[in-house]
Amino acid sequence: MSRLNSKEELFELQKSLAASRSGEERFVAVCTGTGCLAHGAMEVYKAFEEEIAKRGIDASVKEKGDGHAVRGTGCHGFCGRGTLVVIYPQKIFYQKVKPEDVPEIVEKTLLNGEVVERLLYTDSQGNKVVHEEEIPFYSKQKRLLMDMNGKIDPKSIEDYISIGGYTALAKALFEMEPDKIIEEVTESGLRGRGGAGFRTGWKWEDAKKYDVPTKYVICNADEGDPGAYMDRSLLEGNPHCVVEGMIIGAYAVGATEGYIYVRKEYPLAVENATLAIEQAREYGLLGENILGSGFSFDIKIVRGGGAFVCGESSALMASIEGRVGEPRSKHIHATESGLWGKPTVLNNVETWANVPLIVKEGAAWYASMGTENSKGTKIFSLVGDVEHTGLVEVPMGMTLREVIFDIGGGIPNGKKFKAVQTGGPSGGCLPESLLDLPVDFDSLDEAGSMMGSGGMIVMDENTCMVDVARYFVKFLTEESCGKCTPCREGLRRMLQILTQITEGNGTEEDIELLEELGEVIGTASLCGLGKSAPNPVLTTIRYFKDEYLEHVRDKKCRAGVCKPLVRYEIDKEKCTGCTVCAKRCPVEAITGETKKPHEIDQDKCIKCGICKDVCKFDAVKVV
Amino acid sequence: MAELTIDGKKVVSRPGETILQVAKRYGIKIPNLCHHDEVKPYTACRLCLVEIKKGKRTKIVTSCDYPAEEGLEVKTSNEKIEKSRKMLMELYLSRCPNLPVIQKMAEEMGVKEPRFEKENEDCILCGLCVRVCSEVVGRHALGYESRGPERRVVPPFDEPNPLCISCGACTYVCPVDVIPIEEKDGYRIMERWHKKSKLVACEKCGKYFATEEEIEWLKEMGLPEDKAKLCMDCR
Repeated sequence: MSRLNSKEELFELQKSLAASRSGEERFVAVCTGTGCLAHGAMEVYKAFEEEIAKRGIDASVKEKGDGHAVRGTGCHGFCGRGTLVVIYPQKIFYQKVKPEDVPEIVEKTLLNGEVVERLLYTDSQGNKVVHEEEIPFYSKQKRLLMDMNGKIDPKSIEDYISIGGYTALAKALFEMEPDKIIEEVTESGLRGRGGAGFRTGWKWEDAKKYDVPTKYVICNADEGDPGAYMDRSLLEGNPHCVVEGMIIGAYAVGATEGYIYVRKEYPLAVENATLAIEQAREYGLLGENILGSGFSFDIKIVRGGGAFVCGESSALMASIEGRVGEPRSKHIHATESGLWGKPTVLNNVETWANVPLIVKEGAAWYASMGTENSKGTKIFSLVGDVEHTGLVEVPMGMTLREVIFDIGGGIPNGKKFKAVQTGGPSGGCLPESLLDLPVDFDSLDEAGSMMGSGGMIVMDENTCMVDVARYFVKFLTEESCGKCTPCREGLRRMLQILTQITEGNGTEEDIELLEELGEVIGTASLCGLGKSAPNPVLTTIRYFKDEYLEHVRDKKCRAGVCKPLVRYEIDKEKCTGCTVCAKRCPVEAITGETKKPHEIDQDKCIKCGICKDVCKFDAVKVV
Repeated sequence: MAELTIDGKKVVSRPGETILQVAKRYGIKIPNLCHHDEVKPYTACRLCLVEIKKGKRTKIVTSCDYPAEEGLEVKTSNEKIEKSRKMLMELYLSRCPNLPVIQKMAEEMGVKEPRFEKENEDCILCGLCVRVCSEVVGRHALGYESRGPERRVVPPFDEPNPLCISCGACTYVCPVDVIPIEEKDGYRIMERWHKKSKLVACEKCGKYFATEEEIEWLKEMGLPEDKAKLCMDCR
């Protein structure tokens, strides 16, 4: 491929690529996002290649022109149902595909146009659903970013260009002044998707006003929340979109260099982003004189070592500079003095990915989605005790109930909903009474939680809220950098107290002390990690105080999670004396004669719960 | 030069001064443990929090690094700050219950018995020793090990560091006085850093006056050879 030297050359290429992909070409899209890879997507991909070759039907399906009958795409979002396979052009959607299913798919669907019923998604009424867009998980979403993921091969810049990629960049470079771009981004209402929700346009405007030769833009891909992987999936599944956003941002603020700071634990994201940068350079979209516009800008990748705190902007910049990733005060904004003391715009992956859309479609279009102060869509990582786990992209302002029940399909195994934690480990846990809360920056803040980067962990009735608080505080204590006293000392004390409570040694004063301590950590900590860290504790006390009181007053854990507070007992009425529990008990704590009710010796019992798991008659109770 | 008020009192700052520095000059006390005028602000102890009003907005900031800007209205305390300081002292007191400096500060703030389990640490992790070594002496002999609650100040690998010249600057700035320095049998010993440096005697009066490494360092800094052999009194 020769370098593109003008916007006309880009549009020409785009046209010819789009024409060669009329939408009628036959191909098999295998999701090779992280979730599906964990389900074994690579084996499925290879099985398709082999089966197609073996049957000699290569030619019949290879109408796309570039020799790929099977296309490995980015994450489709429905990760709990992987490996996902979509057969084009009919868009037949198969889920939970294993390599051994591949010969049947090739035989029936590819060769004979028939649908393999057993691999279809079945809705709650038992109906088989053939197409992706008809599945409730997808139909209620607004997939501006995620939709592209499923259509393109992230390793192919041509795939991205064919769907209009880099045309926003051409528009920005040749039809818009930098100020106009910033105005558009400001008017779109885009707010940072990484956590703090600062208005992107304001940040850019601030950086723009400093008249210095060197400025930087940074993409924060140091996503470290347990259970969250939306930034990962974007960078893996559509890296060019992020790169394009960064180039536009750099042009708008006058930056000449950019960095993508991505954790080393995301090898595929590193690989795909590296490749995307190389390809963009080759095509004249990055580097010297981009598209012949006279504007030059390049991007480097910096791999993070995996510290959660390095997602904090000032710690991240310290890390890029080769120093220890510790935050600093932000009286002076990074937009004035950031990386190496130069004006720096740092945005999150998802924020950058939204930029090309805003430039292409306009601020008014973007601002038409969402609520008054939260515009556009947001990708959430919907995980935990929910039927459909995966990545969901919804317009801001959709209620938690719609996300969890309509898209997420509710709580599995007939269990009851108990809480949802939004915003990552330092987000708050919200109860059932707040399910109709619209998901936007302000509503979540008011409820004591936060948007954060978009983690959404659903918990059912078997979750102990004190234990949940303990779990997150443990994570945050370990991830605290240790620089400032309230975070370093305060969090470990919180952890000590919470551990005491879950072990049955807590008092009511402990709950008060937790609240007092939480308030101070929130007020006095140096950075966002510390300031938000007490959220899981404060919200669980606010919304689930009765559970705390049960732990300290009655020494009871209603969810049966805190082992020192529970006992396993066998219901004599229900026990049939089948002896399975006695045989499986690892410490021989269960005795009884065959066909007669059994009993657990409480002194021997280690509360492992195996007896409860193996009992077919629901006779083992946690009390 | 900027005019601002601290607790209602009109004060005038000098160029580059922080709120804490102006306050100190005017005899207004703001508690702190990690600040020293000779090194850059670190904002770690969080005791020096103050409330500032800039236009209509108020916020809580660390006074050790916030510039004393024109028109600021500073309050050195409010209910929230008071609560924070007390809790911070309670945390310090439970971590280091045997440090007289901490005991005294806690008492002054009305903190008696900490509600947290008492430990027996001596370092409060203010980082002054690390910073004075890097920023003033320029030796970078000290650093932090681990992170979060495991954080400790040590020379690399917790071994004697050849970069350390046993100058004692760290001992001098330590606000809780837990970096002992001792001279014995012709050596200067800094036990905390496992460092033992040979002392050099003044050619004129014969008194030990510096360690060998210190003299090397002084020479590097430009002190003439002949003067490097003499103590301060005989130079």
